[in-house]
Amino acid sequence: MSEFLHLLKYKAIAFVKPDAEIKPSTVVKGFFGGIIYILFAYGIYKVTYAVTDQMLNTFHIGLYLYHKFIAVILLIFFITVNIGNILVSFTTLYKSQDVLHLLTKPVSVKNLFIVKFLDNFFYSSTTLFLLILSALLAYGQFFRLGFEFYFISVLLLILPYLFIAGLSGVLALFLIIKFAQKIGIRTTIAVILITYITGVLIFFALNDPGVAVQQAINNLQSVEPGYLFRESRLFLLFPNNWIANAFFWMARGEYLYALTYIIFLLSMGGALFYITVEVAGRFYYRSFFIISDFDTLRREKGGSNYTILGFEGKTFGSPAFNSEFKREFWMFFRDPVQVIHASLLGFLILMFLLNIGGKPFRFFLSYHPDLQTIIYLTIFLFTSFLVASLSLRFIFPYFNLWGQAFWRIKSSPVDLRKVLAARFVIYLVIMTIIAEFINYFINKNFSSSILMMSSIVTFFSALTMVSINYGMGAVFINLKEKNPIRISSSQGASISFLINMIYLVFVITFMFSPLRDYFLRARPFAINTTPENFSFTIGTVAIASVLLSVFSLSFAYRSLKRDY
Amino acid sequence: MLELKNLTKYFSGIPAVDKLNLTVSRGEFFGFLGPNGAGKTTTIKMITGLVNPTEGAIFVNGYNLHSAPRKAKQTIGYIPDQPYLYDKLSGKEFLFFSGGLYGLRNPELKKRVDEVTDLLKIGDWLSKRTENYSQGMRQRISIASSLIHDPEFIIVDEPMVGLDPQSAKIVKEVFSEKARQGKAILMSTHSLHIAEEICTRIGIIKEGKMIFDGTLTELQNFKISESENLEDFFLRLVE
Repeated sequence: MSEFLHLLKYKAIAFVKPDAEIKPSTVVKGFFGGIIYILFAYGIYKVTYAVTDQMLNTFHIGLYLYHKFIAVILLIFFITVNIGNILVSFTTLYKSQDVLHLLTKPVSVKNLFIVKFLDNFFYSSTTLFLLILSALLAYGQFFRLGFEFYFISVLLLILPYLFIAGLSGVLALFLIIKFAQKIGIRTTIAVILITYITGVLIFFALNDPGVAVQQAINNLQSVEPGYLFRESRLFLLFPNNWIANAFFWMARGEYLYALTYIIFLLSMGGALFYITVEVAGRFYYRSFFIISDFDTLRREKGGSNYTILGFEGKTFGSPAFNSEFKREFWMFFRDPVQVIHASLLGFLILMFLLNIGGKPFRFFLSYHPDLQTIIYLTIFLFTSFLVASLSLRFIFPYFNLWGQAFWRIKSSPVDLRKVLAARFVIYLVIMTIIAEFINYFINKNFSSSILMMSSIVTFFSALTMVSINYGMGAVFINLKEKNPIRISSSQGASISFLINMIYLVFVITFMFSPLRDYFLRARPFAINTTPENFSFTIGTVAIASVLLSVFSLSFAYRSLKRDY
Repeated sequence: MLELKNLTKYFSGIPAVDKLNLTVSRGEFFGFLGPNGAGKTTTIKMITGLVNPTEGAIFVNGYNLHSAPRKAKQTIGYIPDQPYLYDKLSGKEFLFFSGGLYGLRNPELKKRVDEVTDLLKIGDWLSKRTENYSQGMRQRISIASSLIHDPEFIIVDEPMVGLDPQSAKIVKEVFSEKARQGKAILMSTHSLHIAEEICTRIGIIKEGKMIFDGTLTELQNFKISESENLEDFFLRLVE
């Protein structure tokens, strides 16, 4: 125990200490970062409150269905933290210099694991906590709940829940490594991805949110509380439902009924923590050796320079562009973390398209223009969220990944502006193609005017989000950190992501009114109607996007011109 | 102090270290030489517990590294080629942190921190954060942190990389003194001159196998002629 506390103490000291040299730029970054955090928290609070109000007081979906929605949102959080922890744990537990350093010391593997897990968990979940806390505040205010609600919900429900998600992520990682040793990395990753996606699909088949919406539409607000006790046992196996059900009872002021779910959750969290630590005690050190051997083999493979994109192949564009492009390409595809994450996100996009894209929205059967607009914008937001996540994960770390080799670029006779522009264009093209592809699938069953409007807005959104992440990546450059996942979970990355979210709120705010008019006039079917007032939305979004992009890119350029 | 028995490491069926047998006893300063890719780093990583041997055993001060890793590591002082320090901690905090990892408590720990501070002559900048240190300062702090528990066996990987002459002199003196005190030292280096200057025994590894193990005088005996210098001889040996 004393060893564990010793490790934790120095981790905390290193975490709490501010930078040795407080520069004006650091203060400015911190100040604006704080403002963005506050704005975001406030935005989440307002949106949660408004949505709760709409659902319960305007659409009258009833407490029961409202909490089923919460269960679905909680499941999304679970998946986010779970996948996030698989990826971040891989880099923290096996790739960090800290682990290499501590493994040469007489430190208990269990203690080392717990400290690294906690480091991992809190490092990558700060923004999510902020989001959840703001939403909980709105929920508590709406139902006029007292202090005990916040205490119970944060410490006894949400924290253990996210902990379960993180722990199961680590267990999954151990399993992946074990299988990889037996059947090879690629086969294992393919099997795991298929299993994971199948699991999620089965879950949604059992708990179809579309069905829940239709139930809401059929005015099921009269579902009596006793219904909770008659839910299928399979459904109750998932901890997201325990929290939703506990919230249901707490919203009604009947805390005693929530107790069962709290006990379930804490027991599961405790048991899973015990199991994970025990497994780590037996397997973590061994798995470290497995990864170490994989790394050595990968390094020994060397380079395949005889392909068309090899350094010995044809020169594309100017020599400087060719060098930079090929360096970026090979560094990306030879980094397993990058490839795994890109494949995973690719699969998620595919899954999303298979589920929603290409099919007429069942939700639109409601013919309620407000509900239609909200659902349309939610799905639009989800697409934009995907682009924001991709940009954050793959574009934000770009400058950091130059790493210590940055001297090579700074000391070379290349025009930095041209290098930046070339890279930006490549990223923009890739992101625009992905975004427009998803957008087309989602909108192809709507009228051509909606498709055109969404395509234009999607392009400007992609432009802005790529620019913001590009610019912020340069502003928050940290050449010492080589791990792309940790870079994209850093404070700078969180701020970048929040700016993206604020921008998206701006975009959908301008889309709401014309879309609502459109759906209002398009009843009963939202087709073959030509709305005339999208031009204002498109114009405003375009101007704001271009301004924000120019601002972000010039920030990037200026930031990279400074001394390092 | 250190005993390697048939130590072997295969990567994809190719031996990186091949049935290596080695003993480094008390008071011995063993210089571990070899060209790049000969197996030095893999051997050191196996001894420090960062790579698992395919075959063979490692005994450190009588403890089997495989079955009793914590006890074995408790007696090792490992100094890597690239010092790893926590940027936000000061040098002094890092030394206290490192001492705690070896189970040292105050006031003994404080006494040990003072001792290694004097030994490595790092007192002037010990309270500054390590992020502001030069390479030489970082390496000296790293060495101090590895000696904090007064280990019986010291393993050093390329200690002179990036050191200024003053730091290099201090580091050489410290290791020589430790060997005189009866500690066993294994030092990996590319520099024949350094090995010649401070090591009492030299081992040369090539393609995972020890091709020479003996004293400096014994090494001289392998020379073709008196006029052949040690460097040319070494290059001929590892060709």
